Amino acid sequence: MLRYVIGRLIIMVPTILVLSLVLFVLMRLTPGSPLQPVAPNANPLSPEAQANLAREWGLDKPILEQYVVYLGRAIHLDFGVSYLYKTRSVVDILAPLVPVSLHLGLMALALAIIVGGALGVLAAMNQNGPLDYVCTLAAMLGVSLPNFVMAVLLITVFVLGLKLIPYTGGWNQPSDWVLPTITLALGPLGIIARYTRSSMIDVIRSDYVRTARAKGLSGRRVILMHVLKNALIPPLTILGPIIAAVLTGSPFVEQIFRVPGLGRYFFESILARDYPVIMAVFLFFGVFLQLMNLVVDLLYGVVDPRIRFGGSD
Amino acid sequence: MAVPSEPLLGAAIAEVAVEPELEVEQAPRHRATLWRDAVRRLLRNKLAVGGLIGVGVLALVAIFADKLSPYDYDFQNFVHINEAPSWDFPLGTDLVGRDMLSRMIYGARVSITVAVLAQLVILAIGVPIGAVAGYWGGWVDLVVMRVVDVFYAIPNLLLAILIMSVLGRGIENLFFALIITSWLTITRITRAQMLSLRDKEYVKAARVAGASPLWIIVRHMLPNALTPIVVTVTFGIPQLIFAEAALSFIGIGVNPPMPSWGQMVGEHQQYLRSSWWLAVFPSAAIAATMLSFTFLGDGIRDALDPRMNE
Repeated sequence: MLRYVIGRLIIMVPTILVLSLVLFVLMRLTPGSPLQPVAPNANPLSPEAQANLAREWGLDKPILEQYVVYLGRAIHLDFGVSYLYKTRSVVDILAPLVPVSLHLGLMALALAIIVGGALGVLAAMNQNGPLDYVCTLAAMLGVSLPNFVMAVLLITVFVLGLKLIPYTGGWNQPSDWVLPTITLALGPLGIIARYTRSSMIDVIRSDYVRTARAKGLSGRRVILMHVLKNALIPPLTILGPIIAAVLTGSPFVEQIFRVPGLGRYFFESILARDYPVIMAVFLFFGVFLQLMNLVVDLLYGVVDPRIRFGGSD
Repeated sequence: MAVPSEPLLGAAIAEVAVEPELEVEQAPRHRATLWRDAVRRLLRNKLAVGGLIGVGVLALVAIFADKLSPYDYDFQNFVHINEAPSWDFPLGTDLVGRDMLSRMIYGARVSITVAVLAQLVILAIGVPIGAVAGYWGGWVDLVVMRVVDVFYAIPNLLLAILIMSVLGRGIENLFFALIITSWLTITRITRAQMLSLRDKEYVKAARVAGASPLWIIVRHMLPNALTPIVVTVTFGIPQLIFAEAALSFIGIGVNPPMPSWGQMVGEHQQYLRSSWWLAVFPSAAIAATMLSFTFLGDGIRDALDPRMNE
């Protein structure tokens, strides 16, 4: 087990290295230079000032050397200074934003897993009944509607139309949390519901469930004692992509609901081409996703003891 | 998610195809029946028919955008700025006095054109690479799969965002970003199909008979790999429409004044309370488009092979 985890962590290194190298080269090859002023029509800095700034930021060195220096600093969480806010370091800017995004993401994930799982189980137990259609519909809406579209429609209905939720935006009181969480959760919720449903149906049709029924166990007892335990394992495999979906979706949701999180700032830095920030956020996303995939794989083994780690590879 | 069932599916279709290879006269009849059955199943599915109608309407709107729209998409009517829907402007006007209906109609053209053209290029890139990797295996396969692995480390949309933020907005860059980030799925699917078909008896027979690898791939293997490829394409197009809308929403998609639904939502979502029509109509258009394609895609998948349904 420990050997497996260490092995996986070691495999992560080349992927992250390639990712960071590609990012770094892309960022350096782009036309816009951080030495140019931020304002659109401002006068350029004098050549001497540009040379000084280039030396200060290490931009006068060969690109490979720049990359190695960057990596060395990045390991110590030093991602340099923002090009947009020239007096603040990237870490200072991003550090207070991460907890907000994490809060939103975790709530959405919990909502998606609990409600999506329950919906899938209920749908499988009422196959082709009304609840099954509700589940299918919710899954289709959740999977196919982009979350920024969902956000606009939800705001129109619940904030402007029914006035159930105050028109605020931000992340100050619990009423601000409701719509962003629901919006972010709906897509993953749909996928989980769909997946749980089909996995449940597979198990319900299996021989040992028929045996349990033949023994005379009640329908509810069969579901609770025999079906759930095995049917909930396959949906675990999609947790990796689900976490990726929440991560990718959160910038859009944060943007519309004015949630002061990492995602919203990420968009701002993209429009401003603030490369040190973009680079740091992408590295964060990459490492985070790889770690989450590892956690999901480990979880899979904990829940299903039939899976052994590190045996074959 | 459908990956585990693919070898099975390949095998099932392969069996159908073995016979026509032997009896030449029967070959056309067999294939026609397979596809005719699929069409019949598709048309029996009400949701799929609804999706088909939705996609059809969208295609017509996109093709005849210049005939249908009452105004030019970039014509600014300075007397009618930010007006609510009325008889003259059924969907209202935007902040600089452009007719929303006309912009929505041209937006359909942008969405569809970008998605369909990008999908065609992706097919032209992904299928040959996947076929070569799956058929020959070895180092070609190894290289392709390592590249795919690296791409999978970052979600598609984030990668597209990165590319657009580096290249800057504009429709050519948008094509590039979408193609670079979306060729993986079809490559992987084609490769998996080729891998499972490679050792089938009819492929071996063709090889023994002296057929060239190109002929075997194109004539014998690809037709049997067609079902998952068709399904991937039907789900790929809405994914591309979504990606275009998402990038334009952020402001790094198409170049203004070219209209895009995603960009209209992104630009106007902050005025939702005062001018709801600016963001709600484009949102509804994206929603209707995505749902139509999903219904149609689900229908096509079920019609081509009921067992492929997860």
